[in-house]
Amino acid sequence: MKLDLDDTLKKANQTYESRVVVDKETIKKEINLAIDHGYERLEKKQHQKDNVIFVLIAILVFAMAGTAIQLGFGLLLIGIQLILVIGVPLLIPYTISSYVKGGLK
Amino acid sequence: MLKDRKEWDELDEKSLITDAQKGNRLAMNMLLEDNYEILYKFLLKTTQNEELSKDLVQETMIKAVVHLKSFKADSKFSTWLIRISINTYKNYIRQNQRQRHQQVPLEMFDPFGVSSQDVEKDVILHQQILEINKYLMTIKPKDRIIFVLKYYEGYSYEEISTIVNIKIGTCKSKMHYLMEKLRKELEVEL
Repeated sequence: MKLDLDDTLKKANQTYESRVVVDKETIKKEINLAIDHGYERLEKKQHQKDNVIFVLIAILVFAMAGTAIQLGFGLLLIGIQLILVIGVPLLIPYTISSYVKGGLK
Repeated sequence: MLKDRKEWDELDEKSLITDAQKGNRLAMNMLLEDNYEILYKFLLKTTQNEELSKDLVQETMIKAVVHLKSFKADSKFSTWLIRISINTYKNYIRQNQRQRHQQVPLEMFDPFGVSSQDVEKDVILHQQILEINKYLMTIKPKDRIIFVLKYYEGYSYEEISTIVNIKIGTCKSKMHYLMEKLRKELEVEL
């Protein structure tokens, strides 16, 4: 007997097609369940996303605050340095002269 | 936006997808309901296990709900679902490599489901179908998926190459090899 493979496969497929009978109510229940689970997972995913964004914003805020503090301290140090380097030498002659003047009296 | 099931007939798949992507549960429900059997039959033919197929359908539908927003509607919704189900099945195989699930191909077939007037012919045909099934369970799942998509689901090589992400040439040569092997197996048995 000659083998007609295409035809045999077609019939094999037919047996599957005729075999599969799924109850409409069961399908509806399963779909509803799947949608519920799907939305739950989506919500969870959204929460995780929100958490990541929150952490990133927190890091950014702390980094900015840190930079601001550093900048503040930097400016303060520069101010002190300026006072020491320019202000003090400027004050010395005045101090000496007032001392000399006081001595003469 | 879709509010009533009666509106279904007036809507095409793309509008339903758009509605579902906006969060319309009814649209999502209808999309899945319309494609449930296609998906279940495909998985049943691929796994030859009813329980496993049902589990995979469930997981596929959940994934579809989660990732629907990323679906660009460049293919049919059923094709997209099949693609998800293939990945889900591959994950299942990876996770359960050691504990192989029980396959029951023999129970799947009703010898009288395709009966003709000729009893002898029917018996031979039934035998051939069983052999095809046995053969399908001996080949790699990857190859079985291609086989089912081509010969049972009627997809073209172009579509299969997109679904399983392989070149068309590879797909064709694989199918040729699988068919030749199946022909030999069947001829030996007959």
